[in-house]
Amino acid sequence: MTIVEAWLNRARTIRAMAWLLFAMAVVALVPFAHWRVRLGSPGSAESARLGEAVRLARQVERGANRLRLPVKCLPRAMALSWMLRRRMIAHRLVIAARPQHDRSSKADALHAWVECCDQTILGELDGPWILVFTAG
Amino acid sequence: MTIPAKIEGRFSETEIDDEVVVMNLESGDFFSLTGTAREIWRLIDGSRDRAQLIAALAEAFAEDPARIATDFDPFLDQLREAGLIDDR
Repeated sequence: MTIVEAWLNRARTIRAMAWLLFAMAVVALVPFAHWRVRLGSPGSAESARLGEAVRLARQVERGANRLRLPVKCLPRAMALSWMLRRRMIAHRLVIAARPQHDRSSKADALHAWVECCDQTILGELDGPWILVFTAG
Repeated sequence: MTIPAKIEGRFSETEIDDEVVVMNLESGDFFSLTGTAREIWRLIDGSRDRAQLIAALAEAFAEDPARIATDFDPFLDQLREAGLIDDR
């Protein structure tokens, strides 16, 4: 990797960190009704650019790892969704709950992830899951 | 006579096996309803008043209506507080 590429990667990670912090603030301070309509992007087959979406997802994961705070699945999914929306990349954000018989604790009861081209690109976690909300 | 009714557009629900998961689309809060709670939720269709709902539950669970009522009212209060139902 060249020095320029290294700095570009750092910049992308910092950008992802900014989106993550913003998402965490939104989750904490803004009622769900105000931001749920700004998630996901149905788009068309042409706008579902999987490779680019996966790269952005990796940036979000790197950003979350760099932040000195725990970043839950929902802000990660939101940050990625907004990054994808800005690039008009078709994707779906999913919020789901574990069925009661599979729920071992409150901590693993809910989960959020992002899909693109029918693949989970961020937040993949073994089910089963009950899909309760989808955007896009 | 008031009739409990679900607030349309306020929630999304998914039923799987013996559980209904309801999400309040305003607040983002989730509710997992099983057993009696699930049955109460399903019976609230905007056409039954409190007495009719309790009677239907008593029949469904072969239980005394007075006993049903002790759990029914607090649960309905929870649904109201959660913003999922109101009284018409």
